[in-house]
Amino acid sequence: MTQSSTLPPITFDRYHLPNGLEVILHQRAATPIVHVLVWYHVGSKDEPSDRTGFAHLFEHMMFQGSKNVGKTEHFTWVQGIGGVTNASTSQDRTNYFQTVPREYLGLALWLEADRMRSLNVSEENFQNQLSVVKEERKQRYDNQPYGLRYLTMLEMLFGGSSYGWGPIGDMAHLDAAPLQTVQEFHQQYYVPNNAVLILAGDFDPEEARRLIAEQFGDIPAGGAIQRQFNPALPLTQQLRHTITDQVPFPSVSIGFRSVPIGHPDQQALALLGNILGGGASSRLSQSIVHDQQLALQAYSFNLPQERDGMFLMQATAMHGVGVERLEEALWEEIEKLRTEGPTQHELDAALNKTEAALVRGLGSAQSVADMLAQCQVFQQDPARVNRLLDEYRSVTVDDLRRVAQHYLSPNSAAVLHYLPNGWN
Amino acid sequence: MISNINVSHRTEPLDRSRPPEPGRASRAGFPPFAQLQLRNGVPLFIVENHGQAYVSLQLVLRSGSRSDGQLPGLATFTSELLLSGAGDRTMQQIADDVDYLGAVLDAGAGRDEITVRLGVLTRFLPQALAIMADAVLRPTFPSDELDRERRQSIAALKQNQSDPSYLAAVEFRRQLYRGTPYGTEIEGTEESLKKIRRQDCVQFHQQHFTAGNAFFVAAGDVNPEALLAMLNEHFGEWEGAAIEEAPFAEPEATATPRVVIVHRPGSVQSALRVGALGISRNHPDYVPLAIVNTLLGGYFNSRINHNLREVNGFTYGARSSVDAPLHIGTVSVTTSVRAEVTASALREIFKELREIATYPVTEEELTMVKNYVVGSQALQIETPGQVASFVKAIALYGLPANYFDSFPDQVRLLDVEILLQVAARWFQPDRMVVIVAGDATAIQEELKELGPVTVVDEQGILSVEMPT
Repeated sequence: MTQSSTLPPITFDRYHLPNGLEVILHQRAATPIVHVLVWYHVGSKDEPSDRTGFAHLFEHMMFQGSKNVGKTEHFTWVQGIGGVTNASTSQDRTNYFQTVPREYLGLALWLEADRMRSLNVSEENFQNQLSVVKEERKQRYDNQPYGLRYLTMLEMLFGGSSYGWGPIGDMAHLDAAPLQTVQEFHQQYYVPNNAVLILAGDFDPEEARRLIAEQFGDIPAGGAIQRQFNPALPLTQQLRHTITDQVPFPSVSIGFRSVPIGHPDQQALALLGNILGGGASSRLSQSIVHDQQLALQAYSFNLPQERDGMFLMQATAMHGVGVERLEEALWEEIEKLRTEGPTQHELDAALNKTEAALVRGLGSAQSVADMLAQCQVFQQDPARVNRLLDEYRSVTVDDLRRVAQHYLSPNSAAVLHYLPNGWN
Repeated sequence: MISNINVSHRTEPLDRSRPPEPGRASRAGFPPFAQLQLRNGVPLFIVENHGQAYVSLQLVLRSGSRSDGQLPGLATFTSELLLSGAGDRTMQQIADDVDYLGAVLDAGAGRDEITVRLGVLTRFLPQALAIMADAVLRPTFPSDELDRERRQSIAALKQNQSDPSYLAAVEFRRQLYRGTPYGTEIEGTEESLKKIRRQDCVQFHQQHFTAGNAFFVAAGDVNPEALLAMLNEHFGEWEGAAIEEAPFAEPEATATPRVVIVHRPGSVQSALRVGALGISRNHPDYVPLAIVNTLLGGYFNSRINHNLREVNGFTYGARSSVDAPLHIGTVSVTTSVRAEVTASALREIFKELREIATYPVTEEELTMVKNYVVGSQALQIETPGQVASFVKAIALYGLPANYFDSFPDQVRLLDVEILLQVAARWFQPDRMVVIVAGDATAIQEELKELGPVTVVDEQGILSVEMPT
């Protein structure tokens, strides 16, 4: 039942310019739009530990002016033709995109090339975006219930390493950063040899190649990319931490170190996350939420990154349920998986869900472009997008039990309790 | 000499101060959709698209939280219980069977509609449809599942109440819609959820889940005849008339500005909502109001986001919106700002409201917003699911079938005078209520300049003792 279908292949052309810019062209004529995506291979893990948050602050700078495009004019240009544009920063990469009606491909390329070539940011605009980022941090983390859960888990699992902080970073570090660091960062990382340009949508390939050569061809290559990556030491004991804050219910998070993108166990861990806590029929939903009624919600997932990864379980306690009882129940589910492993039926369900999600993703130019970018930047292998489903399907129930045993050990877990103020 | 030929082929250096000229304009027309009906008359709208082997099917009922009556949350509660037992399936079996197919099946209520949504790989559609039919037509509402769902819903409500933006949104609707069917939250209150009995769900289901109250929207990899046959098999015998709705009690407009602070001690940000009653989706002002809203606060370079974020750095983002449901809607400005600048941010918001309601927008802004709205239509119809949501709006709000086809032309006809008229009508600063979810102690004194200040707690209950 699970093996009866194959996905239509994602076709693409890949080449690079003499300055090192990698280009991937994926044509699809379903709708007269084109998605233009640039990934720079720099994220928060490339930041020095006393300048956390800078890669993300820099992402904001990319909208604050370049030689021919003034502050906020990037949005003006794209909005003025009915397009959308945005950007995001992760631990491993910073991406910029615009989706535009097909006839404005040249505009989107011009905008991206102009800010790859040079930035022109004033002190005033730098300070303005520093304020904006501080509000972003409050809105998303400090003033959000459970907002510090993710950042604390990163510290516990990866403390002392380059993955020990999140992209939002420490506001005191950003206050201490002078304007000139913006130019330095641009010179170091925002160079064609550290970028991938992806077009997905309806365009003429000859014209696209011509426009790309015109706009990006003479941007000088930068130096070799220097990276200071501090790997995390293995966890040799269980780490425990408690946060008390303005939250309605206690919550328990259990985190484990897992694997980087491209590791042979990546897909087994993804399927394991799905079986354990990825939907209404998952073990956590059925056992912890439904049968035992210990949790309002409970889920788990694997989150691989370029050089490391984590497997996370999170549950929010039901009214009146103690955090110890909830944690104990979570460990029982982990233990069952580690000793008995999941059933073939559970694996088949997880495979069908994975296939459906992949098929849904194929409907959007943006999601296909993101998949290509990820496989290109982290593995230099964009063709992997067409092997993903087979990778998942090669996983067996024995693999699942093995990875549960290997990665989900209580002796190398990080356990975080989040308690309401005044809880006892 | 020969080398000269090569030289003569070199073009002028590229002018990089301007973008390349655009290509030939493409016009993405709104995709065609078909309208069929089941043998019992239930309409079926189909957006056929075979790009992916995936089908989205929505069943929409023309009832929602506005039909809750004395039990706020009943429509949501009943809808969510559809998947907790149906036909001879238990909740576990439904969850297991749906997940095994890799499908997504859920049900939920809005103010004006209840939607049961199925998303499934084409090859599993028949099995998934059988489960969906049981859930819609034969829910069993088991008592133990009902109690479990009640505990879950109350806990979820408490969790929402710890989010400042949610608190501001709830208080906003409470202030504007008090005493009307839109005055309560779709998820209800702890008090109302505790009162709902099994019989209430059974009755609500009998009354509102009728063939005469329903339509389907399908999108994706479907063959219309085959889908119609399948739906007839499962839903063809479904009966029941359309629902006679009680007249909608219109809310009273605010006479004077007022400020309500939802006190959240220790809040490092204030979640703001400034707004007033607006219009229904069918109101003739809808298109011009949506357009003027876009340039006021509907996109990134809008006046409000530019002012509050790019000039003042008060916030990560600020926007305005037009909420236009079946009955009377609202206009509002929404943002979260650091607590110290709450009053300053509100002053800027009111400045922008006065500006848009008093002076015409520039021709440049008008051109920009027209191009944006017309051009972005192509981006919003990329996937069959996106198209389906427009078709659903046509059916739900009774819009003309060619509504989205003709939308660009309606937009092109607008001029600055029309925009000023609707802005003056709906964005009048002195009609606005101000809601702030934040720490009242720090801000209430300064907010008195905007009107009388009331402080309430997280349930909207007036604080007896004002925090000082």
